[in-house]
Formats: sequence, structure tokens, C-alpha cells
Amino acid sequence: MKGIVFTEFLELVEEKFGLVMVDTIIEESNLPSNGIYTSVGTYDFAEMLQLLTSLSAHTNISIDDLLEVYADHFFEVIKRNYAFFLEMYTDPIELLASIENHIHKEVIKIYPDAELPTFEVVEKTQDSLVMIYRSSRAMYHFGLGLMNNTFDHFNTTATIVTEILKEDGTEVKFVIQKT
Amino acid sequence: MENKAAILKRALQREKEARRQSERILEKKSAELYDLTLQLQESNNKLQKLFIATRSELTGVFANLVDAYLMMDLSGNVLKMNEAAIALLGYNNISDDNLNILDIVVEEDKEDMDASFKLLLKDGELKDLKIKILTKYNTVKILHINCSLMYNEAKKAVAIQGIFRDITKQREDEQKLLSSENRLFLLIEHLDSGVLLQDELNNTVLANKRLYDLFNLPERDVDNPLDSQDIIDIIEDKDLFEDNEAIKERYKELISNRVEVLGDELVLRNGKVLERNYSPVFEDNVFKGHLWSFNDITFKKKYRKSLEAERQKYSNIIANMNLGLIEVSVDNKILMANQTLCKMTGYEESDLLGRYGADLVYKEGVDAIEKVRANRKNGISSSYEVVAYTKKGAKRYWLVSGAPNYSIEGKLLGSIGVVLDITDLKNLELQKEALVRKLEKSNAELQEYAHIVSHDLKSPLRSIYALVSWLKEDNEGKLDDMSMQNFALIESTLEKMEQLITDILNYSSAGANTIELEQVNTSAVIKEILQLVYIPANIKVNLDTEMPVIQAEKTKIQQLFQNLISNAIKFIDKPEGVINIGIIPDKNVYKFYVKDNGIGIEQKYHEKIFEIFHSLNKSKDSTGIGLSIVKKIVTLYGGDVWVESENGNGTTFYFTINKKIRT
Repeated sequence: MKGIVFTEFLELVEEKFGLVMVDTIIEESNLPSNGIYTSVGTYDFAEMLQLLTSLSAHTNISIDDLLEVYADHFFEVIKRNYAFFLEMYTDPIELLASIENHIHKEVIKIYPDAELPTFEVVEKTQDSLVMIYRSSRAMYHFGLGLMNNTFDHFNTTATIVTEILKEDGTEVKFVIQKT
Repeated sequence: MENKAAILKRALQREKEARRQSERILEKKSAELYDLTLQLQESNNKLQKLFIATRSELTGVFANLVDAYLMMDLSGNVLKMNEAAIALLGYNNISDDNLNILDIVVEEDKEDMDASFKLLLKDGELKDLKIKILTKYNTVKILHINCSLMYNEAKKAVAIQGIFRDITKQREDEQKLLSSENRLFLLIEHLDSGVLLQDELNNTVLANKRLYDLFNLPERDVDNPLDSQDIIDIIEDKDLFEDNEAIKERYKELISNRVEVLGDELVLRNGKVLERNYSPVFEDNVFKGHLWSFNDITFKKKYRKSLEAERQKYSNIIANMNLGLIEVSVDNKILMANQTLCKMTGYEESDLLGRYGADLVYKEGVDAIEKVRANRKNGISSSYEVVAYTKKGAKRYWLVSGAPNYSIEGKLLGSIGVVLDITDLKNLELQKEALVRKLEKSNAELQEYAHIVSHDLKSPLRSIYALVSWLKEDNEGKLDDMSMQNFALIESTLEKMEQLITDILNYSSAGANTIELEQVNTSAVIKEILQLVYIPANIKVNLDTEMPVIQAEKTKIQQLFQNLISNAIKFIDKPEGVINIGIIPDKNVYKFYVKDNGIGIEQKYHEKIFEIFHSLNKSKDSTGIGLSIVKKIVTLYGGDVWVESENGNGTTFYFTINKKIRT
């Protein structure tokens, strides 16, 4: 998993819960990297899982909710550092529909070894989109958060219904309807 | 506080470590980038060199290009042309100002050229354009053009370059090839055989109409026969054959062996018989495909069968018939002889073959055969008799019926003779001839004898008559009445005897077979007779008024009627006698009758009376010869004579004479 996910995650933990919480979850977890992350590095996804579990335990917030909050934060990172992605689109549906074919291709240019989830577009109209998320990371809540942020960014609203296709969350259907 | 410091220290430591880590990563990436740059520079250099080399090469190529090369601006104005182009078009961009390629296109192709030109400007290149142009020498040439746009550094199109190739000749050749291909195609298409050509993968290359018809294949697309499938598979899947499995096996064998096989016969369920010929196609010893042809030989086959049956039939007839059959060549050598002929001659067939036919025949027949052979050459059939000898030397008579034998081309091959052994018949005939000759001779002798005898008998009779007459005169008054009466009896007996001899003479002359026919008026003849013969006063004779004139010998007709009339007079015992003479009309014969009212004849004598010397009544003037003369004459004229009578109630004699007497 790309280092930027870790560094931004820890940034968020420090911002929301303080440096002590950062130190606590790092020290509690058994991390091969010893909690030392740089955005250009690559680290085992299991470390992120440990950090999330530990944080959830200390804050009594579910991992899914944490991921959504993290998504809010990460979207700000995107706006700050990668605004040109967002500028290319005028419509959130168009943006979401082209994650797979366009945005991820751009990501690969910057991080050639990135392992990205796939978003298969099943159905698309002017105001609706049905996509299937597939990833061994089972982090669809992170995706859900990013999607909500996307609609906010374009000053639109939408209902997004998720349907778990595989129990472990590695395959999820997103049904998006603009409101 | 200490705890917080520791936390911060750890955080700082992590930050430092992260920075070092990212520096290491960046250094590594930097080194990688440096290496990559070096590599890129190197390949760049290589490319540059290659580019320079290629460009100089190309420059040389264009200058020396065999094909015409033209450079034009985007409106088609010619900027540059090589030697080949000048030679091809006749124009020269130096001497001919404002030469525009669009202007020299012939009228009919102008539209095509304009469209292609637009396409070129849009797509950047144009390939395989075929266009007709008019050269400066006023000749039309077909050009094959490949051209492309040329760009400047800013990637803007600035010019057009093109390679022009003269394909006029090639086109003509192609046309010729095409038309000869067409002819061949038509030929194959209309062949009476189904033709199938497959490539080495069994895909169909060619399948003519007849093939589709023969196997009842579905809709046909000439350009794409059955989508290049294996037609043989399709045919076999249709289950058309009597023995489909065997045919499939055979097919596999044929295509794996790749050896020519001609004349396989396939029997279809619908009764058709097909002949299949297979030839593998090799080109320079490389296998190229399979060629199949199928012919419908149902008819031929049936014909052959019935021909064979006919042949068998006739062979049997020839072998078993009771006639000898012999075939000889033009020079009379025996080519064939059937069993009967062998039996007839006593030779084996092997003895006869190759021998001269004339050898079998006795010398006296050879000339006849030579004559027949001469006729045979002129195509004349004939029948003739020969005398032949069997192996044992027995003499046999043959009736030979011969006819010339021609080949299919109408050439005379010899003759065929049917031989019937007529020896037995011939012997009978010879016997008969001998018998007839003998009979004729003895008949003549007999007639002569009768004549002589009657004549010779008459003279002593007359002497006796004279002597008795003298004795009677000399002894008149000396001998008693009784003796005188006996003299009279002797005289009358002598008269009767003389009458007898006369009648015999007549009879023998009645048999004379020389008939000289004349018109005989029967009415006149009868009237003459009535004047000649003595008719007692109590007898009345009635003659039919409608008596015919017939073709006959007058004396014989006279004899005929005279005998019958005398007879009638003789046997009338009534005080008033009546004799009716007449004719009963009939289509084919003259049917005469002589009717009296005399004593009549008993039924049992109706046949006998016509026999010679058979007289019912011992009257002095009845010799018993008259009716036999009647019978003889009637028979001579192809007629008949019969009698109707009741004892005591008169008699009617009927006789017929043929209206057409054969001489």
C-alpha cells in the first residue's frame, strides 16, 4: 500500500486525536516498518489494518466510520495536491465513471507499483451510475467516503446505496443516484 | 511530561527515519533515471545515424528510381519529377509550365481522381489508386499510384509525393487472363461431370453446378462455394449412398493415400450410379489439393447390363439352335463356328478355326462360293446350296444363307452364314424326281401300248366279221334258223367288241395332256350331238336357252355331252321319255346337268359307275367306258362329276367345269 495512505492517515490521527494517539497505535501494533512511513515508499497493507483496528479500539469508532472520515481527509489531500484530476471533470458521475479508465491510469504514472481497486461500470445514465468495486483490501467505505466528497465538491447531492456482493467486502455494488 | 517527551522523541525519530528513507528512495530513483537517460541518449544517437544513412539512401533511391516519382503541391501542381516520370508522362515540369496532375487525367476518371485526391488530403496517404491519364504523346496509360503527404517540422502538410507505375500492359494481360479464366470457368461450369477442387486443407476451391445437382446440395454461391467447407463431408452427411459407411472409409483412404484412382462406382439410394475419379494435385512435387469428378453413369450402366443380357441371349440361341452358324473373314478363313456346325461337319471347333471355308465344300460347290463371295463384297446377301463333305467323307447337302458382316465403322469384315443340312430333304427330292421320270415314261409306254393293241385287235376282228358274214351268206337256206340266229349273235358280239376297242382308243386319247383351248359354244355343240345320235320318237330333249360359251377343247366337250346324252337315251324305259339339259348358275364354275326320267341308279352304285368297264346294264351298246371318259375329261378341266338318282325315278348327272382353266 502506498506510503501516502499511511502518512496522511497518521496526519489525520494526529489532527483529530493528538500525537499521543499516533504514538499509542504505532507502539501497540507490531509493525515491520516500525511506524516509519514516507509517501514515496510502499508498505504492507496489514500494517494499515493493525493501525485501523488499534485506533478503532481506542476511540470506540467503527473501522467503517473511521474509513469514511479518512476519506474526507484524503479528499482534501487530493484537492490540495492533485487538483487537476478534479478540474478535468464538470460532473461527478462522469468523474466516478472514469476512475478505472482515466484516474487510475494517471495514478499508475506517479506510482507505478500501486495496487489499485477496480471499479467496473455496470450501468450509467445522466443521473445514475452502478459500479462494482473489487479489491482484496475490502476498503469500500473509503471509496464511499471519497464518492460522497466528490458530490459535495461539485455541489450536488446523491444517494449511494451499497450492496455487499461478497461477505468479506471484497466485492461491493455501488448504486448511485443523483438527487 | 517525561512521557510526552518520550513520545515526541519517538515521533521525531520516526520523522528523521522517514526522511532518510525517502532520501534513499529518491537517490535510488535518481540513479535509475540517470541510467535511463544515458540509454536514451545512446539510442538517440543510433537513431540519428540511422536516419542520416536512410535519408541519403532514399535520396539515391529516388534519383535512380525505376518507377516514376513525382512531387506536387497540395493542388496537384508538379514540383519535381524524375527521369522515369518524364519518360512515362512525356511532360517535363521544367519545359511544361503549370503541369498539374489533375489535368492529365482522362475525362471518365476525373471524378474518381478528384475524390481520391480529397481522400489523400484528409488521410495523408493513398494506396493502389488506378487511374487513366493522357500522356503528352496522346496515348492513354493506366497508372498505379501510391502517394502520401509530406510534412514540415511543424507537422503541417506541404506537398504530395507519389510513385507512378505504368500498368497498362499488366492490365491488358490481366484482362486476357481474366477472360481465359472466364472461359475455363464457363467450360467447367457446364461440364456434364460434377467437378470439385479442394485445397490441401480440404477447403472447397471450385465446385461446378453439376456437382450441386448431382448431390442435391443446397443453394449455391458461385463465388463462395459452401463457405469453403469440405463438400465431401456435406455430401456424406446427407446419407445419399447405399453404403454410406464404406464410402466414408474409402474417402479417407483416398485423401490420405493421395494416389490417382479412377472409376470408383458409387451407388446412390435413389438408384443412380456415379463414377468417381480422384486425382491429387501436385505442383513441383508439393501437394496442392484434391481434384474430384463425378459422372452419372446410371444410363450407361443399365445399357451395358441389358446389352450383356441381350448378348447372353443371342449367344445361347446361337449355341443351341439347330442351324449351323459360321463366320468367315474376307479371305474366307473360318473365324467362328457354333456347336451345331461342328456336329454337322464332324470337326472340332479348333479344327475349323483358321481353315478355309471352301475346304469343307466339294469341288462342284467351290465355284458357287466364289461367286457368292464376289456378291458379298458388294453387300449382297444370298442363299445357295452346296455339297459338303464331313470329316468322315460323307456327302451332305447344305443350304447356306449368307450375309456380309460389317464392323462398326462399316468396313467389310467377312460374312456370316447360317447353314441348314438338307441332305435328307434333298434325297427325297431326288427320289421323287426319279420316280416322276419313270412314271412319265411308263405312262407313255402304256398309252402307246393301248393304242397299238386296240388298233391291232381291230383288224383280226374285221377279218372274223368278214368271215362270219361270208359263212352266213354261203349257208343261207342250208343251215337251220337256230344256226342262222347264232351267226347273228356272233355278229352283234363282234360289233360290241369293236365298240369296246373304239372306246378304249378314245379313253386313251382322252388322257392326252395337250390342251388347245378355244371358245366352245356349248349350245351349238349339244345341238350337233342331238342330230348325230339316234333319238327314239318317244323321247323329248329340252335344252336350256342360256347355255354358255366356255374356254375348252371342243372335241372333249363334245365327248362329254355325247356320253351323258347317249346314256340318258339308253336307260329311258318310260313310254314318254324326257331329257333336260341345262346349266345352274355358279360364281366359280360352269355347273351343267343332264336329267332323264329313266330307270335310275341305286344309291350304292353312285360312285362305282364312274370306274372303267363298270356297266350296270348288260345292254349291247354299253361298254362301261362312257362314264369313265366323262370323269376323265371333267377332272382334266378341274371339275367334278356326280349323280343324283332314285331307283326307277330317273337320273340327273351334274358336272362342273372350272371357269378359269389353267393351261
